[in-house]
Amino acid sequence: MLLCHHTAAGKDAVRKVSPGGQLFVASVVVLMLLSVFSETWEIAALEVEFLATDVTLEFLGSLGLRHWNLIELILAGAALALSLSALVTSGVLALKAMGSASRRRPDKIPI
Amino acid sequence: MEFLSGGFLSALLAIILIDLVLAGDNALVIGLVARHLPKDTQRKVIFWGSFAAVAVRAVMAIGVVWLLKIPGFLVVGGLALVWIARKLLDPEEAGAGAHQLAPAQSVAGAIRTVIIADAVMGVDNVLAIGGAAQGSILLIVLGLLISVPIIVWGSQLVIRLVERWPVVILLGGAVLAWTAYSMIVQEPLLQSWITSHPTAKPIMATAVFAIALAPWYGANLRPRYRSLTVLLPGLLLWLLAFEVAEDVWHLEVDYLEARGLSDYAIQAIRWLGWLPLALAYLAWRNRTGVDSAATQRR
Repeated sequence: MLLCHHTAAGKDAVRKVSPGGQLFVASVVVLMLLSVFSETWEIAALEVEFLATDVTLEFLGSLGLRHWNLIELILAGAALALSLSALVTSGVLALKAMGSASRRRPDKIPI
Repeated sequence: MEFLSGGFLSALLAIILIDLVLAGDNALVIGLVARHLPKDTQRKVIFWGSFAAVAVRAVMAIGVVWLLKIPGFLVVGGLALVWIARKLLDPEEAGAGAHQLAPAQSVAGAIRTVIIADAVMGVDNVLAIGGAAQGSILLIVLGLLISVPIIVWGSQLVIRLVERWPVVILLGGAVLAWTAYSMIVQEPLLQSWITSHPTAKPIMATAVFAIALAPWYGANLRPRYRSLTVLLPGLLLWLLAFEVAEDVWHLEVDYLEARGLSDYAIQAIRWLGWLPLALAYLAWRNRTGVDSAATQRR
């Protein structure tokens, strides 16, 4: 009998959370996993010299995520979610702007 | 852990979040147990029941600190936290329905029932706080102090918070999964093995998150892809098993070190051997889906 399960939103949180909220938590989880992977790739780069020159491994190892604590991960997750939302919004607006206007609009300029 | 350092504040934030999402409904328990008692007796049960909830939490916190120092218990605690995270995200799947509490006939019986119910409800919370505190007694005491007002006065606050921001539950689930992974990799019995198998850590982390957060991402998948909630953790555990097999049966599982035919055969089994198992699972799932649909039609 958890308190949070006494609400409709709490009982079905996986469906009731807004898309923005899910994006935020997904970003935090991705960064948590990246911090673990970053540590491993750094070690792998040290152990296997010829892999150390691989650009991908160097980039992932240099992300420097391995020592991030929870507050940093949550803030970075929020920043990542905001950036992705802004990117998607601006992309949608740009695509709308590039599309032709409806023929029936009164201010449609006939070309 | 230095006081007010980044690590300390992060652990404190994790503990606050855990206290919020894993807060048990003490008021409901007392109400159910004392519903048939006279009004003046109910007030005694409310007072002593709340006092008992706090005392039980304190005793369990001391017990958890002691238990987690025993080798092996960090892994057990971490695995328990994975299950707790799943239960938090999908209460129906874990069978966390309404608990039947028989009304008590006396004050002593009511208080005894409340203590037992509090102990059962509080185990998740205390275990998660013990894991998030990483051995710091100060953080465990702070976690206890934060949970006390929630137990005694703050139930409506928590309910309103969750109603307004259900994302707190998802974030709580992610933090529980992160705490579970941290507990497992900090286990002293596994330290030397993890150091010699650095690739085991990302596999374990992904498996922990894949299992703990399955109710969340499974709900967002189309029904035909929901088997991924089983296949993904299964694949990760398959890969982890080969890391373990490297030491147990002296196999060569690093593809860079593979030399002979047997090494390449092991590589083939490692990377492709899970496919027949996955196909068998999908076939079984389709069959049970067809069988249950046929049963419903009849």
